[in-house]
Amino acid sequence: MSPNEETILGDESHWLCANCGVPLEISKVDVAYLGSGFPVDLARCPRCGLVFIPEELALGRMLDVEQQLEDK
Amino acid sequence: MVSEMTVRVYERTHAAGLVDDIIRPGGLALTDVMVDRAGLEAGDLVLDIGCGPAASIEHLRCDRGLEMIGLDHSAALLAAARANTAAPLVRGDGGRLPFSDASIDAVLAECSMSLMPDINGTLDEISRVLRPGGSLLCSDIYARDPDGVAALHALPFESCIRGALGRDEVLGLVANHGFEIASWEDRSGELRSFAAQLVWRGGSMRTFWCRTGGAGDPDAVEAAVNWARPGYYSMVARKPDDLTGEGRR
Amino acid sequence: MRLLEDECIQDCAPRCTARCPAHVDARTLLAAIGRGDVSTALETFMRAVPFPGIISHVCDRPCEDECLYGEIGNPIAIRAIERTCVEQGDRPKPKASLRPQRNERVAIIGGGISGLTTAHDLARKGYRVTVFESTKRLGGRLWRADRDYLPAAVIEADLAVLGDLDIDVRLGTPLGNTVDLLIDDFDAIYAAAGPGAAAVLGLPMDDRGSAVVDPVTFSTGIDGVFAGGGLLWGTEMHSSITSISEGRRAGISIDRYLQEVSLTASRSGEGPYESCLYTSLEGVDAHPRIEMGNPDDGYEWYEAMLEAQRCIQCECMECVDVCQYLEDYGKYPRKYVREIYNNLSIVSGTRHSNKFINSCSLCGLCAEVCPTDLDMGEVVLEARRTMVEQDRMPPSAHDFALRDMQFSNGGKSAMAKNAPGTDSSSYVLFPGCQLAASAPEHVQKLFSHLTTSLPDDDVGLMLGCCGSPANWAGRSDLFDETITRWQQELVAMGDPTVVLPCSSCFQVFKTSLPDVEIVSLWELLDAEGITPEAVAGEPRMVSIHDPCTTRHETGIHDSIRRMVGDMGYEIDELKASREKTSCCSYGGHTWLANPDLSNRIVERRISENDADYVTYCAMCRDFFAAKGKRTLHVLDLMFEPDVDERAGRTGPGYSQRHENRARLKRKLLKEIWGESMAGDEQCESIILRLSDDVAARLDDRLILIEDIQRVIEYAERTGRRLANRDTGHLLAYHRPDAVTYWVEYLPTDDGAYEIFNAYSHRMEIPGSNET
Repeated sequence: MSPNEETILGDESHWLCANCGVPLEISKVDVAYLGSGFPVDLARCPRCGLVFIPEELALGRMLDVEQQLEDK
Repeated sequence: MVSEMTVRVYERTHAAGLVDDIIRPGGLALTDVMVDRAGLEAGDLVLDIGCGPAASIEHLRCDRGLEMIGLDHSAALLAAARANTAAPLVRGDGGRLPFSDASIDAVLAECSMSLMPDINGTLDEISRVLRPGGSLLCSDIYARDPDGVAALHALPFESCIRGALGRDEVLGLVANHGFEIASWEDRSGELRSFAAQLVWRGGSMRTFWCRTGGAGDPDAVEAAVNWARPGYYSMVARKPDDLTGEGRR
Repeated sequence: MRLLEDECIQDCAPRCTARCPAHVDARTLLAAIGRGDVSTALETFMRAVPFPGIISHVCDRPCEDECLYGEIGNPIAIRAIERTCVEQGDRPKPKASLRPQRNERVAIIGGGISGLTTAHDLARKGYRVTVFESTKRLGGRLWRADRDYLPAAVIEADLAVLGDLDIDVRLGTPLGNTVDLLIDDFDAIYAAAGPGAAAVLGLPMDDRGSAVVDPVTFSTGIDGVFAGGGLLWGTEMHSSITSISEGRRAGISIDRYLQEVSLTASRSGEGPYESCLYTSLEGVDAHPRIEMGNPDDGYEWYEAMLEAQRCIQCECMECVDVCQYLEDYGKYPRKYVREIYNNLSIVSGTRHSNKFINSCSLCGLCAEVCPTDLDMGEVVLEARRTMVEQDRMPPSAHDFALRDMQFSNGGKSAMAKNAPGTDSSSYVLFPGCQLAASAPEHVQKLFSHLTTSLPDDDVGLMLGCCGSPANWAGRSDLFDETITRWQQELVAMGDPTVVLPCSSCFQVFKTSLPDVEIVSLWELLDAEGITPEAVAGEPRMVSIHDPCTTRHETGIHDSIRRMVGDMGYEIDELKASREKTSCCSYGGHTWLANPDLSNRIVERRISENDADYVTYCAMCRDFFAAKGKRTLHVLDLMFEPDVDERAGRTGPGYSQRHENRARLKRKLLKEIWGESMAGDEQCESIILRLSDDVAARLDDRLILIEDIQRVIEYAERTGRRLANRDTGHLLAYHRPDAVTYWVEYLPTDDGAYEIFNAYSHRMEIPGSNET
């Protein structure tokens, strides 16, 4: 696992999928922006595929990646 | 002779936890594409120059049935490679390959050619050890804006970006050593994804370009790198068959 | 780019330096002395002049004659300060040439100050120099000066430098016809003997016996032979500083000659010239020159320091002085133009450079104050267009603003209709997207006002966005599409005159739809005399903030002032008003690209005057009010009974702006045209409850109520939500367009939804649009 798990996964144990009633599991999820895609580890519902992105990740690491890709 | 600094580039890359296929753009999927383009078959003997922790070796050996030999200058990476694969591993450098003439079916060089201080010497050696009709499978950084290449060469640090050449220069060099170019494809999208993944994992491309430290002004490095507009390519080149037709399956 | 760069004069030398034959950098020297730094000052002086003691005693001071301060008082006493430098400072030893000794031999004929300068320079470059002097000592005419004026000790101290250089000095060696003789033993010659020696030396002469040389290279025409100094004197002797200049320039020629490179390339800056630098004297108080306590001894060091501080450090920073953006980025236009050019053509866009390009308000103030009319906005806008064409404009730079424009021009908010019961219009009111967003009730009042007060009953209404946001974003495609649409609508309405309250809209029409008849609402109201009744009571003091897009619209400026005055207000003009007005930072999307800079721009503007502001742009008004400045829109003065209350009102948030535009259309269609719009979408019926904190956070994050409504509609319909084990809160995500929104919420008992948090990202993740 990458060293920054806490940031990426956040407090995923506090959330469960309301759709399926099951806890989330870490698995490989494909993310993309501006035509560049790659797999990353994220918390995800094993049944319906609902993904969890915590606020710190969205406004932190994800924003960094978006800016990196925007700057080409 | 590959310098100590160069070796440390990849040791650090490895140590930063960038394992499986994000040690380089395109990953194993790109390796597969090149193997397909080269028409390699199970049982072919393939030398992986700059094999690092042997991600490609293990995949090609187990999933494609290729006979793999790994070569790297770094003892640390070879130690990691040893833990990952049972394939034979050799410590050495690209300028002096410890193999006899015409003994290898294909040479794989993934993000390693741009690190070679003596690219001509390395290509000579590769040409020597490949059997006639053998293939060179190469993926690496290149400079999409050749005007920026001079700026890159002026950078005082070791990293794969420093050795990046323009497309025409790469093709010219390879052709000058007697190879025929079978395919050359731009893979810059893979470089972008790679960069994004690096950032996701808490790194940055700036740290990637400046990996060995003591690189001087990061702004100047970034400016020079951007000047060259780094891209990524995959290439398959073929050593011509000898005229007698020997050695060709 | 080169031409544009040249328009920026900040790099030009100031007047003193330009006029000095040796180009002494007096500005730097004076700054150094002004802070007590003698060594820097002396170093600066000696960079231009190898004999500082002599010059600081006898120079005829063309610099002081040129000094800009002379226009308001005594010029700075530059020469006297130079003398103090020399007396107080430690003269550095000339560094031995770091280059290897050269083999070429150079002969200097005449040991006067000109020849000695050449000897000094060439010896430092490693050449083998021999000086031929006919008398028993070096210095030539220097020794003929009055000893009180130029003491022997000063001359000797200066000439001592030559002893440290490896120069072969042959005293007492008069020369006969030397030139031919010398050509065999030397590789180059600089002849700087006294006047009248040209004939003896065999040099080309004019009919007064002065040597004739090329004015740039000082070449005599004989290969390898250069001449200057006394040999060139006609009726008048040259000043010492001129002789030094000639000696230095001849030295450059000889160096190039011996290296076989061009003698003439890049020599245009040599010798005295007129400076092109413009420096404003505004606000400079004239102080008299500092007197010397003891004139014979020159300045004491502290006197020199005070006198040096009088120097105004000439520079042209006219534009940087008026623009927070330029000041922030710490450079002057020449450097910016270069940086932008580099960004586009060579360096592929780092985040810093992109932000720099996207932070300019395009307001044109720099051009207004620039002595050469350089407009940074033009440069920057062209850069944005190029970035867009090359697909290098980061989407997040302008996306929010472009979506806002899209909303304004979408079915919910846009319309174009003739007055009820007519099929063409003489006039059409086009209030613009932000007035409708900020004060929809005023749009309605204005429309009804114009309908009654303009002749005939055919005043139409057009709601929408003129396209400025697209223009500012470099999106020529979107901009052209937008203005084409309005052009077509106007044709269909019978080519009415467009009445424009918003000055950005006004500029768009004026510049890009020149065939359309337009009139500024303000000029119309003023001309037709249809201003409402004056406000009763005590005249109030206000300051007028002219929106930046009215910069050259004197007519509008005047009309506004007349009307505001007629309504009973007294106007305390801002210093930066009318053509010098500054942007509120809405222009050019500055606020979106650089929120921090935007804040500072607004703070700077609102602190210019304590009086309440009156403006006639909805965005200027809202931006200032958001930072606590009491600001009124002219329409407030016209329509609002309680202006005091209006002045303190903050503008609506982003979601409310959308809603206002949509409601305005719906209301006017219903009330004036008797038409109903199609029913609300599913989403709009979703009622949200949020605390003020959450509402503020949403605005900060540029998340709209309608975005949240869409997420909830999607989540409730598909059931795709997460639930928090501890709080029971639901968390859902959805990507209707280019952005994924996350909303944390709970349904309330009464069928509404309470919102606890929301955030967004642009990266695409799976599962955001499942059915």
